[in-house]
Amino acid sequence: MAQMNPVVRDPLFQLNLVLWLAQPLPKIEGQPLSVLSPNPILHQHGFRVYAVAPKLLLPERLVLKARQSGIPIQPSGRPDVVLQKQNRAFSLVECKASSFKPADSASKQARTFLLMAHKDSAEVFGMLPQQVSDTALAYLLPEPHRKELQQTLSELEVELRQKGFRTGSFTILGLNLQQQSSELRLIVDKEGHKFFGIPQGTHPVLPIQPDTDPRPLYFIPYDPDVDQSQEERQFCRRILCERILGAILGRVGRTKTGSTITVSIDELLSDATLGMFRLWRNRDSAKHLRDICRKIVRSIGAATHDTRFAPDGQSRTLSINLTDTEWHEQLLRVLERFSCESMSASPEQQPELFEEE
Amino acid sequence: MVYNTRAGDQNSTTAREAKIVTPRPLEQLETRAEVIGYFEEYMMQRYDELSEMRLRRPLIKSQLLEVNGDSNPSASIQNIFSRSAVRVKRIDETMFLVADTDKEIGVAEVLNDRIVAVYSALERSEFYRWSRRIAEGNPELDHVWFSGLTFSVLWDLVTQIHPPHRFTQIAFTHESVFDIDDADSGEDEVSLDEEAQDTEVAERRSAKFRLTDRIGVLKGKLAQMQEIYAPLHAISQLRFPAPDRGGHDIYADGRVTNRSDTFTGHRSHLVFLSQIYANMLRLTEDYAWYSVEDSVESEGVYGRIVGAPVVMHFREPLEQTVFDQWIKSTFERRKNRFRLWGRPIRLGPTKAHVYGLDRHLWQPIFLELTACGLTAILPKGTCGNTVHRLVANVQLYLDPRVQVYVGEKSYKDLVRQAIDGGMNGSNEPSR
Repeated sequence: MAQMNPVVRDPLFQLNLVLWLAQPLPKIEGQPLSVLSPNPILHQHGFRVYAVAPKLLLPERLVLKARQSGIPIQPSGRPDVVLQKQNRAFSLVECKASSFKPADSASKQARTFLLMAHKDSAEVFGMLPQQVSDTALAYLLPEPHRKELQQTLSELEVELRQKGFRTGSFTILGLNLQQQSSELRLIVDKEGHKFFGIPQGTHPVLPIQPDTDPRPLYFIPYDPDVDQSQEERQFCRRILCERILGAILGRVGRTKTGSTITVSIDELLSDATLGMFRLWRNRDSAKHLRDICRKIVRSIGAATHDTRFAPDGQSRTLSINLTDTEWHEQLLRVLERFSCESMSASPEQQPELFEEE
Repeated sequence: MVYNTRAGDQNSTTAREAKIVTPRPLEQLETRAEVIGYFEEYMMQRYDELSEMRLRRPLIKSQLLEVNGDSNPSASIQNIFSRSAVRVKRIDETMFLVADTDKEIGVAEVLNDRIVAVYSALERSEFYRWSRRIAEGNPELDHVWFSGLTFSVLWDLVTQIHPPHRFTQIAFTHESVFDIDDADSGEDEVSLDEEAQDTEVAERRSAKFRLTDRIGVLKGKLAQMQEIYAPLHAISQLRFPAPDRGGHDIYADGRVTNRSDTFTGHRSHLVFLSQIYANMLRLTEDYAWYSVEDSVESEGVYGRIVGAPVVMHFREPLEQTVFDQWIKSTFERRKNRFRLWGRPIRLGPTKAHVYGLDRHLWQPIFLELTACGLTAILPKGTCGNTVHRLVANVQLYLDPRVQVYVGEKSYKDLVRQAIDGGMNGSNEPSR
């Protein structure tokens, strides 16, 4: 059996893939699968991104009933994505590296999602029951784990129903990317077809060039809450760093000489995450991200060797005093040469003889 | 069909020796009526000279500039131009005299909330250098960028508006500068200037030429020729005929030379163009801007991603060496043709991600670059001009036949939609 590409196990890759599948993308003339971009199969079937990693609360009546029944659940959950179709149909999408068993801790979250996915739980999305026509829970994971998860969810469903709960339907979407394959495939089961309208079977969703990493551009560059391999985390951390560096460089480039820039760490993180950071309610995660951002700011500060680029005492804000043209230009050069891999400014290159003007 | 080797703007020494009435200094002009009258009279003289092929002074040229980041450029134009060391003196609400420290340049007019035009009677090379200088190094100003795709839609408009017997002129510029042999040739950006086009170069991997003929003739032939020869998709200049005589030569970088007999007609044409371009900017930003926004139902709780990627699909995949050179010369050089900054993350032989910046406007742009094309994510706030400059540069340097989309919408449809808004006299395009 051919080996599965390890990237399909990465929940952040999976999350960004789901986001791409729900984007408006062109149909390139004469090509069934664009060689450029993901096949937006969810968008084509009417689905849009309603929320990314929202904190959803299980209705208190269900929390109470679960406690009384001795069913282990979480009172709240944070699915990776909520998809929506025409304001009427909602799907919680959860990305997983692998399957789990009913006795595993992940099952507490799964029970919560199964309860939230019933349309009687419309209040979870801030809607009235009559406003919601259909709901489903969708797990996305590597294809070899699909059957095992099917078994687990079926057992959890039976358990909940036996205790008198109403659960939503669920579907398991498989990802298949064999080494050397020219495309990443999405496997849609019968329930997936019923809810999403996508034909049951295998669908190419991402073109892969030979010897090329399949990752698309990341909308969400980093999530401290997800379980990633060391290599994946390092990759995502670099993207976050590039985006924070870009946010600082952009401000320095745009601002007039003679002005002082004052920007908070939270603003930099918000810039780097398309605004997601302000919605990150998990305080530990937010703190973790702030620490990363501060470290980047301090490293840049060390590369500048100048107190005119300095975080405040508590490292909540960064102050950059663009006192004169020479310093402004020098700072731009340091920022442009700063490497997020080595966390230092690379040596200044001599201008090429024929550098374009 | 006429293949020009020399533009009609002939400033020969002999012509200069003829008696020239020196126009009065611009600084003496105090009202809009005086400015219009001044340029009108100047233009009438030039048009007569042009008809006699004895041009004694330069034609009126205009530079369309995109003003970035302020909803009321009339109020802030002095500040914006001061960043480029340009002095500005107000004439009225939207019109200003413009001068360098030692020389008068012309008159600037705010045409709408995104576009400023600078009218000048300087020599073309001098004005070209000046207009490049004021935009470079000023993140609040950029040239207006008409890509080959935009020109092709404008050309359709020319054929609809003007009768087939009128003459027009179209220039094409494509240089495969990233072909490895030519990569370090030391050439500057491909010049879109008339002088450069006069050279009629037919070098390797280079196509710069111009054709002049009746609209009716070109209408039938251009599409056929484009099928045969791809660089003909890279239109870099188009003459938009004036209602009576002459026309307006529009260049890819937003310069417009007045070859008509009136200044008011020229200005009116610029108002029309600037409306179209402002609509293009708004539409691009409306569709493409990515952000995480609150779902209306639940403010501050649910963040949904809105926006659409910009996708550019190359008709022919780039060769490995061309791809490598494109990445190297763009991201390893501080001053590069695409005016981008970033640290490429290589993901394969012909795939790289760049979470970078538009180095001119200093605004973020995320790019996936492959041999087959380019995908761009524009975070909210990044000016739509970044997209139009990118499209123009891709056609100029990489693939003249590139297909471009903003989300599901084709770029040419977006331009057509912008023209519909402009034709209706509205700055608010209907979506």
